[in-house]
Amino acid sequence: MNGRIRRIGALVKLSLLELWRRNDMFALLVLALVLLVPLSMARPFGATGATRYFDEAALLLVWGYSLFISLGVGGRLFTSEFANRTVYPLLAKPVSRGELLLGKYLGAVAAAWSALAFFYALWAVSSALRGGECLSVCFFQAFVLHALFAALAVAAALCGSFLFTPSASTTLLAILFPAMFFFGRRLPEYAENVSGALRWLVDAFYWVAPHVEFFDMRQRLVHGWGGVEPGVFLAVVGYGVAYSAVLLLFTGILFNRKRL
Amino acid sequence: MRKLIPYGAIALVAVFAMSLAKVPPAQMPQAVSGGGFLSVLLGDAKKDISGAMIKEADSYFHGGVDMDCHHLHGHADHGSQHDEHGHDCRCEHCAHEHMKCDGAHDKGSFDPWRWINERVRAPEIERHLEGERTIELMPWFWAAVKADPHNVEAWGTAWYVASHMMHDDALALRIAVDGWRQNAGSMAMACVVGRAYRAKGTLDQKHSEAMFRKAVELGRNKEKLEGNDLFSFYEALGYLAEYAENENDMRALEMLLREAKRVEPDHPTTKLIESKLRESRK
Repeated sequence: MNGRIRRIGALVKLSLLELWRRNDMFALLVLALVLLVPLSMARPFGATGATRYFDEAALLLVWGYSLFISLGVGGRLFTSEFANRTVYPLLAKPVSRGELLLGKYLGAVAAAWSALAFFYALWAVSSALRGGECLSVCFFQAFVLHALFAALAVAAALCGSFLFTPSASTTLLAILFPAMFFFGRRLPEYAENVSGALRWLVDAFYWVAPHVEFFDMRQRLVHGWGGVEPGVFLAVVGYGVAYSAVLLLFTGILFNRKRL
Repeated sequence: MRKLIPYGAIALVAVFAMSLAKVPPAQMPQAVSGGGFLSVLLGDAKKDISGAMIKEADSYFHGGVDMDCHHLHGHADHGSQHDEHGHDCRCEHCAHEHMKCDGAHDKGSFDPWRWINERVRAPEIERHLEGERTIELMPWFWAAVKADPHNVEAWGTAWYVASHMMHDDALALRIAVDGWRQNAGSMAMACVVGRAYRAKGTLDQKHSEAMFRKAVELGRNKEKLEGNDLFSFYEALGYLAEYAENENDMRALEMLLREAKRVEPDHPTTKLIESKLRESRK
């Protein structure tokens, strides 16, 4: 048991180091500064004191970046290993395919979470500097749900990399996730406006597609509505964990069936 | 022969470009409205962007909730009605809109995804930004008028928020004057500036009166007065009548009454001016 944990731990460490060695994070940080610094200096009609628009824009950027990082690290996990044939020496070691998959997945999630924690810390500092309330229950819930979103996105990208080519998988998910994020809760309304097979399709999509909008607490955080009820919070956590687990399980089946 | 094809194509393009240059800009299929880089780049999309910014301001007014109630819409147009009773959102329009919002949530069978969504998102209950906190709406109005400087509704609503919610008369006047600078032919905007000069902090009757006179003059020059223009015309006449009554200026009242009767003899403002004149004569 200890040996298995040690092996998985080593894989996690590798994935984590890979993200921070790449320059993606720093490029994103510079981009955030380029976008947010002029926005923070805006004085609409010469008036000062408005902060919510800035908080919302900053959080939206964090969401965009977390999607970019999660899909990137998830999609790259095995693609490069197969392309460079480095997966053979890895599997030659006393590591099972399941352990390799779990270790690499946890590593990618840890990498995505570390980036997320970094951006949330920056947001909290910027909010505190402008006299806002940070480190509240709502902030904690928003971070946890966002982290679960990142875990789900990594699992989806990993699964997609086994089903499609890396670019096709990333493109599909880069369309699906924002679409669900902005319009997911409105799918039943769209279904009501169509008929026949299309309605059935939209309904089926509504039940099966990843409802990433559940993890979005920007509205509560920015407009000071407070946190969600513990029961609802646990339901969303359960949804995120279950969805990621199913995707990972499916990826495991694909990986086990893959001829190397 | 093949070598001549590129030269022929260049000649064709040159002839086409020269013929285009002879067409007056207004007759072009997509004439650029307004100046600047944004106008060329976005064209009519500016109006849509501006409208979306106003919708966002409305959402911010409700604490980030899209209530589809549009409380802020039309305050510039029927602002004086709201002036009378303040913005307590118990007016017929708002009450009706809230009923529509409440009715939208009645759904049949249990849907767990909807259940989660409704609870993760902020509750759709009536909660409005008040007082100084309405400053949060200003960036969206600012973005709306930057996208489309001719969006009189955005200028008017921004003025309304600054004046009636934030109680910042100086800011309200600044917004109104900026809006007038961009929309010098708008009767509604002239009325907004006239009202901005009536505020306690920026009281200037001379300027206020001049702006209401400008609105009436703009109305006089229009072939047909209807909709918002008709509303602004009578709004301006009403305020001018008030000034004339305060100064006991019978001649001005008579002139205003003639002006009011010319367009709609049975309009409530016409009746009001008539009664003011009668009172003054007693």
